[in-house]
Amino acid sequence: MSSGAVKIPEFLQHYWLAGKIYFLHETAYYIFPPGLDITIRWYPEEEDKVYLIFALSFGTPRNYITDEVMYTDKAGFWHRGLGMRWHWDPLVESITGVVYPHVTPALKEEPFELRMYNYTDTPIYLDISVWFFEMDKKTFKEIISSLTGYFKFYRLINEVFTLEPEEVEAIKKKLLGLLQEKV
Amino acid sequence: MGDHRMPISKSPEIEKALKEGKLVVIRGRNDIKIRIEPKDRIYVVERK
Repeated sequence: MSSGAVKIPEFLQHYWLAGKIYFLHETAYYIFPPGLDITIRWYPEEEDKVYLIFALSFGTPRNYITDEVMYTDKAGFWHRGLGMRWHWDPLVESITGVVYPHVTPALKEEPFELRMYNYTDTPIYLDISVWFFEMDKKTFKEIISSLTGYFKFYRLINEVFTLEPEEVEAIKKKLLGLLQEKV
Repeated sequence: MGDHRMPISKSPEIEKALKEGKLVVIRGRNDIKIRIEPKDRIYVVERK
């Protein structure tokens, strides 16, 4: 069973509060037959929408015949999305036992993909929840711009702290000059 | 504290789909779109 709570990324909280993005999760049981090799792709139908996936969570994998807990590295899924490389997620405790964090936008042209496999001779099932916010592309770009702003701001602060006092004074004078030009 | 977990749904239709090698998905009926390829290798049970 996934441990801990699913957390909303801080940079999304005020957009949610302002009603600019919409919270959703999709929860389902998946029963993997032996020999399974199938790909699930997640993406919004509309071209101007983005699903920003921020977590996956899992139930305990179980043997479909007996309902007993069944951890195995012979079943699981290959997985990728925007900003992610393909990687193998077996149905083992270190994967299914955590809330699996993501910051992965799924677009119509760039889906979030799970390629499911079962190399055992037993049907296995588990529940999977995909947690995300739906938004339009304009809002998504706004969020990315605000993050870029934070990054630049803190980089600037860092640079200021590494400067000699006279260099800081020179920057101040330059900034004041620019402000006066604008006024 | 006992284990109050209900066993997963089992039905002849699910058993048949598994024997045919289909992925079985048991989900709520909603508007969230998921594409599964190839489509003929999935059996979906939608909860109302």
